[in-house]
Amino acid sequence: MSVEPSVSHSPDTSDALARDAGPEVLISNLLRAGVVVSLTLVTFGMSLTFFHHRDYFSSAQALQRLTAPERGPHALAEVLADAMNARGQAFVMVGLLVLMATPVLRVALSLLAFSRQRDRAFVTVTSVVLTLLLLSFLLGRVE
Amino acid sequence: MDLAMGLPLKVSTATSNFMIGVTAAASAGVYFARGDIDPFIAGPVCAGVVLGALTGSRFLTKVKSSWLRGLFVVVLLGVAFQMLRKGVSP
Repeated sequence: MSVEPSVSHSPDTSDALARDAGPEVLISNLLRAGVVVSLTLVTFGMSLTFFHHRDYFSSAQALQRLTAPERGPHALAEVLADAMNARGQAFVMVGLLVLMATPVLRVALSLLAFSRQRDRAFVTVTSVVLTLLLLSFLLGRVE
Repeated sequence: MDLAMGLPLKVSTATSNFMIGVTAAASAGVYFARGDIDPFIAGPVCAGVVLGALTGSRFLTKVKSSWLRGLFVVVLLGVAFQMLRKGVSP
């Protein structure tokens, strides 16, 4: 975005600057919050699992079962239902989902920022990126 | 980016990391929908990567670029050697 050279420091330009700084800070805070929330959920879920199954600490066989190659949870409803039953695994999964959603939300937020700045080219590029991201989420599921 | 486009090392590091993040988000959703994500493998990796990224981004602004480049070369050499060894004797 080009900043028009202004003769005096009118309240208009300082407003424009504040609006410019706004989205950047917002995006930074979003990324930070997403990462911290995800880290908290993952750590909480892992501790919950090890709290429920003390035998993971002592027996290597039980620990093998934990990472056995079975299909992981793959439906949002399933993950949420498990979280309601205080399954540690579900909390880990929710944390991972938050981490996956963070960059997508970041793209959506920058689309909002670009459209507020009326930056036509970047709005086009960002909406294409966002559409492709959402498409990959929708088309990815099998069955 | 560093060699071909002449960008500063720190700028290219941050940019490539960001792009990897966005493109990885696209495939992560697909893996989740197919049930290919094991929470107890991805979870510890996630915790480690996030903690490493937080400390890394904090130190990035303070560390000298030349030192960073040297460290990166060492890490790449280590990974390359590991891959070569695994490729030769599985």
